[in-house]
Amino acid sequence: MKKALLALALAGSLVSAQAAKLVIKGSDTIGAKLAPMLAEDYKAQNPGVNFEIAAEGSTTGITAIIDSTADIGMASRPAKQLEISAGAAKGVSLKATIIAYDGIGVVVNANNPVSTLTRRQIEQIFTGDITDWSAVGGSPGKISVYTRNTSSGTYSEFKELAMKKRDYASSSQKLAGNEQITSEVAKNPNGVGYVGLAYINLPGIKVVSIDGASPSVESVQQKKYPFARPLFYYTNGEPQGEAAKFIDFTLSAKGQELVTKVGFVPVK
Amino acid sequence: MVKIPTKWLALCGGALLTAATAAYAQDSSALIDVLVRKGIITDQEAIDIKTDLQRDAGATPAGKINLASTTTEFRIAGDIRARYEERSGENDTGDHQERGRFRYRFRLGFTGKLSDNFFYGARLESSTGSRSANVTMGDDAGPWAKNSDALNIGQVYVGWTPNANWTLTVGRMPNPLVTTSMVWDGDINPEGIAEQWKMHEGTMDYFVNLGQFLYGTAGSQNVFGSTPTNKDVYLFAWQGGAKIGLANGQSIQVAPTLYNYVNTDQSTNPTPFKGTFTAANMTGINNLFVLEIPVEYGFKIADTASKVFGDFTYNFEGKDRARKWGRPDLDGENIGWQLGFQYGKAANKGEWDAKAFYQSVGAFALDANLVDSDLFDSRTNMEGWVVQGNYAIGNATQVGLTVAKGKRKDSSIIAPGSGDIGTGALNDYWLGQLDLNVKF
Repeated sequence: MKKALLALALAGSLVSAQAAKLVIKGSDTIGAKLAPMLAEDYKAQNPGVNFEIAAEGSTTGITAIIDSTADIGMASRPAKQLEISAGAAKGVSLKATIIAYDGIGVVVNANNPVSTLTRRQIEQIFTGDITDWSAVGGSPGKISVYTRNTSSGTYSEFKELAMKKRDYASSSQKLAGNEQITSEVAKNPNGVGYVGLAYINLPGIKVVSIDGASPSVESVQQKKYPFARPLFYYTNGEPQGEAAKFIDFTLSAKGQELVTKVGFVPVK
Repeated sequence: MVKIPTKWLALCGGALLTAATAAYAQDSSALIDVLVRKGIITDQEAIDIKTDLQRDAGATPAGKINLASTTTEFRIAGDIRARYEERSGENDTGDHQERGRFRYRFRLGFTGKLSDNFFYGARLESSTGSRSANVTMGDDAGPWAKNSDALNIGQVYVGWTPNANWTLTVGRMPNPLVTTSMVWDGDINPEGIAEQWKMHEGTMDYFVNLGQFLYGTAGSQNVFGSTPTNKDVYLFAWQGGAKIGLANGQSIQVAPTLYNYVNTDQSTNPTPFKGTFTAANMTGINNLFVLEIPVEYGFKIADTASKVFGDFTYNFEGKDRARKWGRPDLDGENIGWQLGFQYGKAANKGEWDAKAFYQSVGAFALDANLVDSDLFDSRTNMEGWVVQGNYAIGNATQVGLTVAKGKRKDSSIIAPGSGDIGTGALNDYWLGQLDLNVKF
């Protein structure tokens, strides 16, 4: 009898050990730096928990929640109506939790003389209405537009916030992540792109102000920067179990400290 | 000042928004953003409310439609008409032909606006006829077979409005010209290119409508061997006009138009248009260089919109057309005119309108392939009265009655055209139509 109880206890501990794996998928903006740092700290406090993090764009995160292949979906944009409907059709109730704020900074090469643009000029540059820097007060040169790829939440959010939902210029080049964009803009004197707040201070690039407002913790908190947005964790309904604990940790003082450290704006 | 606790405001706001119909989910987003900016609700509460609204909206049929992001506006509209029609005519020998039939017409249109000021449209229509979308009930190989019940593309076009003044359209399009049923059947959707310009200044509206319509293709313009080179046949239309606004809701509109047919003598395809006249056929479009002047004077009778309208046409090559037909003595038959009056407009439930006009069209005045197919049996060399009335029994439903009575204008020659009464020697034509029309 004792042996049987022992075997049951062992089996139970094995099951609980397997259940302590958190699968987190989605946004590169969140998943490239912030999520791994949060996971490391969380693991330090909860040694039995393992993480699987895949940062391949917000769409993949929301899809993973709809398909029940992740516990948490990271997204730098809110779920679209069709995604919410698709989830509802599968009995999944998408629940968004705001974990931080971000400002999408428009970056140009560090040697570009242009340091301020209007919202209208941003729209014209990214839609291809303006194709030469001389049209916005810069040195003559064909503008190279770098955008995120279509599965990126930043890709959609930038269209929404900055481009009146118009399409990107057909000549724009799509890149996988924030770091790729900063890297290309740093190499190309005529490059322009956009990145999250956490990436605006990398070498070789500079951020331009929009109608006089620059992306910063203060301007985003005060809702003065026009291209600011919340960052989300998506779950199926109210978070449960280990996912709930991890989200609570993300929103805790320690978690929000990491949010600030990475370069985003804390919720509180 | 009484201060309402923020939580209550948030609750009320949330309840109001949640109660909003799914159709307003998108519109509510701006309102929610205002509540956030004013600090009444938090960002987290806002995203929760938005998600709930979108979930509700997604449960509706409209919420499941996914339109391309380049579409800025999309509209589906159409109509169904049930008709009973009687038409009859007498020929030169005093013999009569009568035809009574039940008919239906179905049209389903899709129009959309795209980014960068482009637009498009497509309309499916019953019937294969160029001048009618009517299908005669029972007109099939067997009882209720579907041989004649197919849908065809009635309109398909793309366009561009580079600014508020210009509209460019290419494809099979709604007729861009201001005209009347005397010259153009309302069911014709010409194929080709159109350029439209308009400008509003004070009480004046100016407009220019240009059309380059492909009347008939020659197929291969040049073929192997010694066959002569062919060219496509075009109908060019140049229209310029103005509408002048006057006191007390009065207005005058004049829209002179020139029609010119190009390459009529070089086309071997389609043969009906290459200018081969026979004693029983005058559908060739040679010797047609037509001026049309539609005029309309709008005014109000006891607050009801009314108008006097008219149309005048003159074929500058009518003399040559008459000569080619073999009756140079009838070179005066190159004129058409119409004059009528309309009271009211049956647009909304309970409204009605009545219209009456007289029309007279010479044998060599107009292109018989384009004139209205019903009122005078698709023919020129006809004159007579038309009386029409409509009553809106609902905002989307109308009943209408049309009666036309005409006769051959010059009985020494045929009434050119290809109507339902099978004789060119058409005398004492009569038409009656009772319609039930539903728009959706």
